[in-house]
Amino acid sequence: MAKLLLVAEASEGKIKKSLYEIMSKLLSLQFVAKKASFESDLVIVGEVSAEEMERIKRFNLSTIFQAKNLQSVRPLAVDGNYKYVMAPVSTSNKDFFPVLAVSVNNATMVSDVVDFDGANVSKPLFAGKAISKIPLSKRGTYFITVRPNSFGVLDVEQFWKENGGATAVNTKVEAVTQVASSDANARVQVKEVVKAMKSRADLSEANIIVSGGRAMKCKENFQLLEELANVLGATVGASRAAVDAGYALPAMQVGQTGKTVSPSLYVACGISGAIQHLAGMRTSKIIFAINSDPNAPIFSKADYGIVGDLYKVIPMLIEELKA
Amino acid sequence: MNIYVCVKQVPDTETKVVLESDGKAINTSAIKWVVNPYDEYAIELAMQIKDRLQGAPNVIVIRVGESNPTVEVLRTAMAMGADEAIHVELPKYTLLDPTITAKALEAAIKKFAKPVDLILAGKQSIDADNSQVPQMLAARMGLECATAIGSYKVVEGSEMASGVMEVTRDLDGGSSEVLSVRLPALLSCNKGLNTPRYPSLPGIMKAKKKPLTKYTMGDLGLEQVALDSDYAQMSLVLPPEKAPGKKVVMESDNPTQQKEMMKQAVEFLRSEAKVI
Ligand SMILES: Cc1cc2nc3c(=O)[nH]c(=O)nc-3n(C[C@H](O)[C@H](O)[C@H](O)COP(=O)(O)OP(=O)(O)OC[C@H]3O[C@@H](n4cnc5c(N)ncnc54)[C@H](O)[C@@H]3O)c2cc1C
Repeated sequence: MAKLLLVAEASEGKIKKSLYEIMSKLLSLQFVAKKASFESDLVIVGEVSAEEMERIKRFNLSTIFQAKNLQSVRPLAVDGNYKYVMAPVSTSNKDFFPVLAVSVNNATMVSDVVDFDGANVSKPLFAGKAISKIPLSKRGTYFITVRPNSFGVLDVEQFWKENGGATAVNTKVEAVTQVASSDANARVQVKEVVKAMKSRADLSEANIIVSGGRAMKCKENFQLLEELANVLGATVGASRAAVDAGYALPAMQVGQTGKTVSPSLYVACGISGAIQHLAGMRTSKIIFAINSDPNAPIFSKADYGIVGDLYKVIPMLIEELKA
Repeated sequence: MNIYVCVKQVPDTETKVVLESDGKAINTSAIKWVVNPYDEYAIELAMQIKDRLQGAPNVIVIRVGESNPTVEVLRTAMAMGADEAIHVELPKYTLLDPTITAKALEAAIKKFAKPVDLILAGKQSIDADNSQVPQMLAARMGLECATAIGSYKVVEGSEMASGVMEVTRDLDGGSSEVLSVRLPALLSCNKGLNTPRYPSLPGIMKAKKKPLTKYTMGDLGLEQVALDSDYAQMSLVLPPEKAPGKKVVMESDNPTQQKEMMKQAVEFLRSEAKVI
């Protein structure tokens, strides 16, 4: 049976939601669609709490490996006879996966995938203006990174109820023993890490995003968006115009030259909806736009639009949400 | 010192995507071609290094891509100041398997036989957004690699054989890291690194006479590999058009209407869209 390895980076005792999304997808491919005959292993980089470990085990994994750092996953991913090696898109995987793919003969890598059916992957091209379907037909290993928020998270207990009861899942837990003796690749040295002033949920993982554009006029006005974000449990993003004007940090930029996001809800405040901005958020499930110009292009992509002054609309919206 | 700069020619972002009838490729007849925006930062960085060293480094731009309808990007890069160019020709515009692009770049650089001190590239190309080729090329060639650099510190003595360059890149969640990279190395460039220059008129004239070396995929032994890749079997579809959403206009002097509007908006998010 083909084997699949999912690479999970842990932080603060937990793994990211995007990993539960992938595990949900794999579980339903194995049981419901009965399309894919593969067994899944998971390697956890870093530590998870006992509670998190139990939750992870409900996803029918064969073996859970524990690794201290990403580099020690290397021998497992390269020599473990895996047909698929998968992970959510992240800054570290963007560097790690292509290097792994170079280390394996006949490997293929596909990045930023939004669907996987066991035999094909789909990935957006031209900033989402087309979707490609790529068959996975070769004998070699496939290295695949998945865009967060592409799949829903299963209620796993409900799933087991509907699919033949809670199977006694027999997951082995092992430490990765092979240590990367000598790293085949030259490594750069990290001189210093500059921590963000305020740590925020990563934009590409966020389930709800509130973004502000040029209409925010200054840095201080972003506070209004922070307030809206607080009631919604959202992360704050920005357009390039807002970033270039210094109202928002570069890490907050959504769009072609910023982050690609795909949240359940994207609230665009005073953003016109330029094609380069749409490129970064058009796959959001629901787009909610607030703009004073009834002809702003953002309205043609929005599921719900309010034509009005954002300085008036947002405070009223916050009030209504709190009610 | 030899600086290689990887460049790609891509459809302008404003381009409307139209598919060929076989659903295997996009129709390229009405496309405006541009230099991949991230590659412009790489070209500019090479030029700044060249300027600082009074023109000493030899800057070679290298591209894997179609020769029809145009090969403007290599001339543009030479008009900006690059000394020579290598073109690995593909018969038509193709979204090539990044593994194969990396192999082609490596093979062409080796065939060209001028030793590598520094390779610069954009962090990704905006047609496929893979972000694989720079990392793969560095790994294949055993070079130190820093990706998506957003700033570059000018350090005395770093821009020479075995020099150590200092660069900064963003991490998830707003943090950033400062990296020391020993040459020979590869740097992939992000937005914000610099402001790319425009080609000057004399630059454009001179570019016409600068040497351009051509290889085919066959010359590099990669023709069959490219055809065998799963990427060669990809099929394309356009995303479904979204039905127009609801749009409501706030009446500036009608508090009752405003209040009712907010109620409906929140109701939509909670009950209809079920996203909050
Ligand atoms: C190569 C390239 C890459 C790019 N990459 C990106 C990218 O990654 N991300 C990105 O965002 N852009 C990007 N851009 C820029 C993009 O083209 C637009 O310029 C930018 O998105 C505009 O930002 P904006 O919508 O905030 O500003 P504007 O287009 O100026 O829109 C401001 C909007 O606010 C509205 N408004 C004004 N006042 C109010 C008010 N009081 N209440 C409500 N609404 C109000 C206006 O009606 C208007 O629609 C890129 C451009 C290029 C050429």
